[in-house]
Amino acid sequence: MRRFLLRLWDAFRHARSEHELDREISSHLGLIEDEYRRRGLSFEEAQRAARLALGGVEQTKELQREARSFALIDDLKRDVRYALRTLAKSPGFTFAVIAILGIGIGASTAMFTVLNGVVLKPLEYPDADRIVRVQTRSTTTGRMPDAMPGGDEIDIRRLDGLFDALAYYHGGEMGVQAADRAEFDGVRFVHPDFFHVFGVPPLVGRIFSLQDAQQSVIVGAAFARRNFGTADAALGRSIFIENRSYQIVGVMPDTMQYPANVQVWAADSLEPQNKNRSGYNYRMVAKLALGVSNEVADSKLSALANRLASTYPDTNSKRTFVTVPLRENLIGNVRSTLYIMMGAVSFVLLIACANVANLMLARSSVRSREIAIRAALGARRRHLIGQMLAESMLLALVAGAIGIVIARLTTATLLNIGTRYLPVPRIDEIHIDWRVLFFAAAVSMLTAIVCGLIPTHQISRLGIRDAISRAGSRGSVGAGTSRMRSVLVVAQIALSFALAINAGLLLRSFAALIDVSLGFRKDHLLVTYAHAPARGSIFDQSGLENYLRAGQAIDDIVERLRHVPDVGAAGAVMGLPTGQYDSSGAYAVEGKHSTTGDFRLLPQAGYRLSGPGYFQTMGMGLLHGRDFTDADVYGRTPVAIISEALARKTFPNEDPVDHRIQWGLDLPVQWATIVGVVSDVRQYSPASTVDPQIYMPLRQHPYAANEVQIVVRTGGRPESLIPMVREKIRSVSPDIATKFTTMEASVSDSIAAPRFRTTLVSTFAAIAMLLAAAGMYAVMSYTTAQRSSEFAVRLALGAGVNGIVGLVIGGAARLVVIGIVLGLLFAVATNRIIATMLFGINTHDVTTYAGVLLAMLPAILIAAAVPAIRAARVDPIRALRTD
Amino acid sequence: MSSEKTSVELLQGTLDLIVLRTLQTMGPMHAYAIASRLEQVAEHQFALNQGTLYPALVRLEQKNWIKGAWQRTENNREAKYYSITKVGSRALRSETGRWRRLAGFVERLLEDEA
Repeated sequence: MRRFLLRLWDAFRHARSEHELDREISSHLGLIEDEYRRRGLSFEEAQRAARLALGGVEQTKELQREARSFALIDDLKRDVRYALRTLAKSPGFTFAVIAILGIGIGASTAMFTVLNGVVLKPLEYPDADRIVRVQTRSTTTGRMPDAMPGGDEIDIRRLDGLFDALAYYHGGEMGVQAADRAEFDGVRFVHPDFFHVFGVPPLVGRIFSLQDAQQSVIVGAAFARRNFGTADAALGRSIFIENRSYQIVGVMPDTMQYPANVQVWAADSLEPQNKNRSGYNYRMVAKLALGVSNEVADSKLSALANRLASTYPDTNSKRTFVTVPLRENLIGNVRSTLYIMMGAVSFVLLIACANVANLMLARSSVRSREIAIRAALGARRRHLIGQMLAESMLLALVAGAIGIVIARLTTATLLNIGTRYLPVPRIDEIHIDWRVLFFAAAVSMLTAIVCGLIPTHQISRLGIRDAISRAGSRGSVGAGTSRMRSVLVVAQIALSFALAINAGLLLRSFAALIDVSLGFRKDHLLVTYAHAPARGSIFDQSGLENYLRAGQAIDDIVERLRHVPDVGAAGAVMGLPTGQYDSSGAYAVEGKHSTTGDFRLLPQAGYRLSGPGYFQTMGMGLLHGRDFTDADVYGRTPVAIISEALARKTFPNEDPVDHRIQWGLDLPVQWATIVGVVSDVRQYSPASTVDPQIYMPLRQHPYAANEVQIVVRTGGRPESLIPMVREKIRSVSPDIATKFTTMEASVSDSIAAPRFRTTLVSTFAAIAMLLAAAGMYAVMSYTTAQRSSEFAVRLALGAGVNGIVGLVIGGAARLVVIGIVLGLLFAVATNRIIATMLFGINTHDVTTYAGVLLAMLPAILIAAAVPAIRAARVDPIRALRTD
Repeated sequence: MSSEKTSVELLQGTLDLIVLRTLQTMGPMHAYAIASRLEQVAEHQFALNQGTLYPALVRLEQKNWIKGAWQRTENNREAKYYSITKVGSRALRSETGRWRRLAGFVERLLEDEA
């Protein structure tokens, strides 16, 4: 070992050793010369004689060098040269191996690129590890809502020494009036300290100071360019949000990506306006003070939570606060999906490896005569193995390089498709970096070693005599090699079967998702998001006139749309299924629930607001009672419509109509009379359960009614209505921001994540199955070639073609059965991971298993049959003569 | 392939042993002195290409059995003097034993055949 290390070391200080050698040899020559001179030879004669005695200067040096380094450098050079020659001699093999490995390495590198960008890399903010989200956590269920009540925010802000900066924020997509146009943008109202948390310097201008509260705004570079031409031009201009004017004091570069897709950060008041302790209305982000760990922060926060729980038991018992690193919070949702993808793709890589190992093994047995002869001539086992490894390393290196290219090309596509379906955070940070390159290199080397070592294992077990005699005859297949190759085929079948089962489950589940009844008709519906700005606050009941006017404007729009010839029906809603707005909370029915005491004990429902005609437009069924009318406006008797699920839950055996119900959407809380029962819908996505909903008239809740979705049913393509709708809305008010989609698209987006998962895993499964079939084909081709003389004898003795094919397929079937049984076990062991992602079926779905089996069996058996048929068609005389 | 080289290859282990033994008895020597000593001991019966010493020297040095150091000769030439190390001495003892056993075995074998 020591010698080995020395040689290694020597390889590095090659130059120094060479110099030392020169010096030693010239001294040696000098010494001999001295001797000869003493014996009386002339200078020239002595010189010549000295060289002779030494045996040639260069020869000596070469001898010494060989001793110095022969194993490492020279062997490597020789092996690589030899490998290059052999690979060049069999271009088909070389191409196949490089292609298979390239796909495997490319797919896994592409997946890793995404994983790396999203999950592994730290956030690109200064001191990003100190940026945390402050969240609430239920001490009973452990659930962690993303948001927290305003009252609690104020108390957390009063804690000393924990945070360098702390900011609440709230908001969403809403209308922004900039220059002379209105557009929908991601808007957040943030505490002025918000940018101190992130530390991103503005492109131009400055970040907020406390004096900016409710007056200033910072916008993204894209927003500035879109509305004002350049970032500089935007500075000092005003934009309007909810009719309030904000002056642009800074423009943020694209690296400021928090929260995702936000372009407008408006400075809000120093304290949240909604100071209650029951509504989760605000999110909090903070930078921990230097030297404060998450644990320290959490213990101080939980002490505060305990104090609040004893002061406000009605709201704050069973609630504590925790800090969550921002990174964790961001990637929490996609992480599991990405890990599953990574798992699926490593299956593909494993199968590719098995495939290549198989090919190499096949070749090594074809070459066993050559290997045996080299062994007989004195090549050591170590050399033979070294040479096989050199070959696989070379192949893997080339495949790795191709893999990186494939990854580079596919990552963009992957993200393109992926982000359409799945909101991937930190998308801009996804690219190939040193981590990815390192990963690709490591994967390539690993594959090289795996692929190279399996056949060499075979060689090293091979006795020389054994190999020569085997290589000499082609009558039968070497038992050892053949067994190893069968094992590899079985492994490929098992892996691809397991992957296919998982893909099949996802596919079936996805089909069930598409098939599920949503409770409304999603076809031929145009969805228009419309935001009519209104200034004022529900908390001090200011600006009521503004809001009533905005609500009237929405009503006018819907009314005008109804009279367009192509429009069958139209209605407005806040809280469209699969749409952007959501609100929920407790409700109480008069005589059934107590409205005093702990509101958290009350039943829960989704809060939706709708205008007249909405249910009809959506194709929802009014089961009982009446729809809202134009008379259900602010100031008149409050009314409500409940969903079937709510009726079932709270009014199991009676008619809910005329009962009175109340809930906590806005102020003042009033009793509302139930006037109707409407059929259930799946609110968030086809995967949602059917939950209780309360519908309230838009016009009775003005503060919630100025930002709505308008649905329009048409006989034609919904998109064709967009110009007309935009025009109608502009004619009512140019300040109303609009944004369009279709109900189909909205529903489709809501199942984007499962679609993405399903598409990707199915693709991987398809590649895996192809590789497995190719592996089967390769092993069968080889086996039948090996047995061709046996077949010839059988044919000559009268066996039919069918008999031969049956023989071969029988052999293949054995491998297939073993592979499928193992794959089944493997699938059962792994599909627990995707269990939570399934909808409508469970992991033991027999149909899926049967379907995958039916798809896979023929493919693999055909792969086995083709070479069998070819072998059986061979002319027996020719086959026998080739020996 | 020259015949000398073949003979050296056959002598591989042997040459190492010879060099070790020489250094053990004669003390630190340079390559030329070692070669001269060998020729002298062999009474010029077998011609040694002095260059063939070098692989043996490198091997022994890599095994840490001998150590080389540059010094001046009495004629004021610089030369690399090799000396045996403690590990080398120990190795020489065990190698000698091994050689004796092997030589004895070959000897017995040759006598039987004769």
